Amino acid sequence: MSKHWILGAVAACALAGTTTAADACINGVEHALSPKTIAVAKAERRLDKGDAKTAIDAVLRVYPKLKGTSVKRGRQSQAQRVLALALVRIDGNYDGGGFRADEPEQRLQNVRWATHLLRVLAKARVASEADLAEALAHDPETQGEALEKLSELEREDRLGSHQLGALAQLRRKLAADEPSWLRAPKRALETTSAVLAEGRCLRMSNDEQRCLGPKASDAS
Amino acid sequence: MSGPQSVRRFLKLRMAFLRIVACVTLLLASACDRTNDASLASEARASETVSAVASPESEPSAPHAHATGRSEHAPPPPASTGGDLPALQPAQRGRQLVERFECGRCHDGTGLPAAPESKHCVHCHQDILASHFEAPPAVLRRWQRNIIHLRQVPNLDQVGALLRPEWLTAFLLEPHDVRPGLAATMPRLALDPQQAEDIVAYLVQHASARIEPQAPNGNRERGRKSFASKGCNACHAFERPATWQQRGQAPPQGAALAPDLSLLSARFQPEYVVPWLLGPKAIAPDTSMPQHGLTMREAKDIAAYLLTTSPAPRQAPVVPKRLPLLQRRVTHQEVSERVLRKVCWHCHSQPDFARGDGGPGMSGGFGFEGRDLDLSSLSSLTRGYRDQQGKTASLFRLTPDGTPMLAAVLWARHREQAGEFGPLRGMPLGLPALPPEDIQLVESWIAQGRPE
Repeated sequence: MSKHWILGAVAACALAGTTTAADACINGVEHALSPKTIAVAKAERRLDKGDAKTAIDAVLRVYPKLKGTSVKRGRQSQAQRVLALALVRIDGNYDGGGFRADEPEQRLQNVRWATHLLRVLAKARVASEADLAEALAHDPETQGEALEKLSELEREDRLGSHQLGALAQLRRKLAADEPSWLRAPKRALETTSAVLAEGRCLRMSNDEQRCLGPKASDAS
Repeated sequence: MSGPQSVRRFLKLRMAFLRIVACVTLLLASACDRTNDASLASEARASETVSAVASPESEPSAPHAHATGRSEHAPPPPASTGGDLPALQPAQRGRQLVERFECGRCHDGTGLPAAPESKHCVHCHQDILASHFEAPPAVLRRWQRNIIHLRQVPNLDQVGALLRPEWLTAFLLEPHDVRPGLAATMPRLALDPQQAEDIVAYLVQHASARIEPQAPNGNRERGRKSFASKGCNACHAFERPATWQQRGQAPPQGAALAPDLSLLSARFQPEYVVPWLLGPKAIAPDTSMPQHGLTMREAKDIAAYLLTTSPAPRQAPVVPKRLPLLQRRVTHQEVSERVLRKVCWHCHSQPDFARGDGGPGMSGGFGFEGRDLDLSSLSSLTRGYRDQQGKTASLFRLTPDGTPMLAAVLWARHREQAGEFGPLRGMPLGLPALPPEDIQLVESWIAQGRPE
């Protein structure tokens, strides 16, 4: 039965053209033959495109008990990265797979769990420093660390649109929080930096919510 | 016997024993050195003999005419292999380097065990082409259509016997197109000149063929006629492109490995051209060069023709002109489909999603350190790569001439094909440079701010 399912998945994959011309390589074999790899890689692409909830659904279908699993090497660690990053991008607002999101406190706990996981995954070079920095930006207690990391990675041109969006929002918040006697010059500086990050983010993704934040995009 | 006396006696005996062990070790070591020296000296003498019977019709001004064999080489300087291969003979170091640079991932006949199937580029491709690879037929058919490169590569078994060591050394350092039927070339490995010489020393020692040298002292004009009448031009380019090239066709069966013979006088040991023409399979049983049933006179005539005719210098490919940036929007998806996942990810892939190790550009291989570079997704591309200092760097950082690194390595490959070997290693490694339109796409995407 499972053999038929695998063959069916492979045939569907071939028909759908989800793999590319270069797949005839040992690095492409798993992408063509392993349904689990196909599913996790697809979830990663969904996450890159901004569809975080679907990405979580997809990896939990492959690994239903992923929340309670310690960090492993291989495909499962990639699934953990997708889960953690996706959870952060929806501010912990996911019900299922062991997560509760009814209360703000539960959502914050979800973000903190995900950030912790990303920290471990970053040490194992599964997640990137940018992934971790982005996660840190979603917790008020770690936003200072996030700003520092994101600014450094921005200087090195190692940020994608999600991280640039997070950086822009942090800078805007920082500008707004400046004490009044410093406000004008510092605010101008932070605002300019935020605008630059927003601009880069928009050139990458053209997604106002991602780059300007929910409120700013509503206002525009 | 008192306690201190027995201790002293024990210590004396122990010292004597250690002295004997040390002496025996030294004797064995010096005997071993002498054996190696003798073997190298006999090889050097053999090379000198080969030089001495060089063809009277050889071009006297040709740079290779007097430079055959190891006897021409200066004594090798101390090993430059970073101190990790100390006090070994060149061929011994070469053997270790063949292992370290993983020549057996592409070539057979290295004298070392072949790479495992999961790492052997050519065997894997051949298995897929022969439908021996374990995959559903529909998937196999699709792969079979797409496999272009690394279907065949030369067997290294006898190259050390047949080819000039100095040419081999230069070729390893600056690989260039030798076989028009293959689009791929030998990859440019991270070898220094001493390492290249050591590898060649190993290949020379490893070659088992015992070839009776023959002076290529035939008649050039008769050789030209025989070359035509025997149909050599069907596979080989010489003075004119091979027939299949002239017709714009793919090389016929067995001709993909046929070298361009305008390079023969630089590549081949001149005294071995005649034996090779007379019995290629007797020297290298795996060769696709057919047995033509030539007479000795015909073989000598053809050898004289090939070695003494100076074909017009081959036109090195020209670095194409850089195309202007595209005005239309270019997305990562387009770049990925046309370039990154079509070519690059063969060597730069996510090991957690691969049956292999993610490729040499990810986890290391072919003597390269792992660069931790995964080009299979947008987020991993943005993450960057590990530079030579071990720091993570952006693929989009600008090189001194203002070109982003990702595009700069693609242009470097064009320059390598044109014979310019700069400090930046060209990509894709050993494969044909990407068309300028593809590089234009990459550059436009970066210039537009890398739209997703």
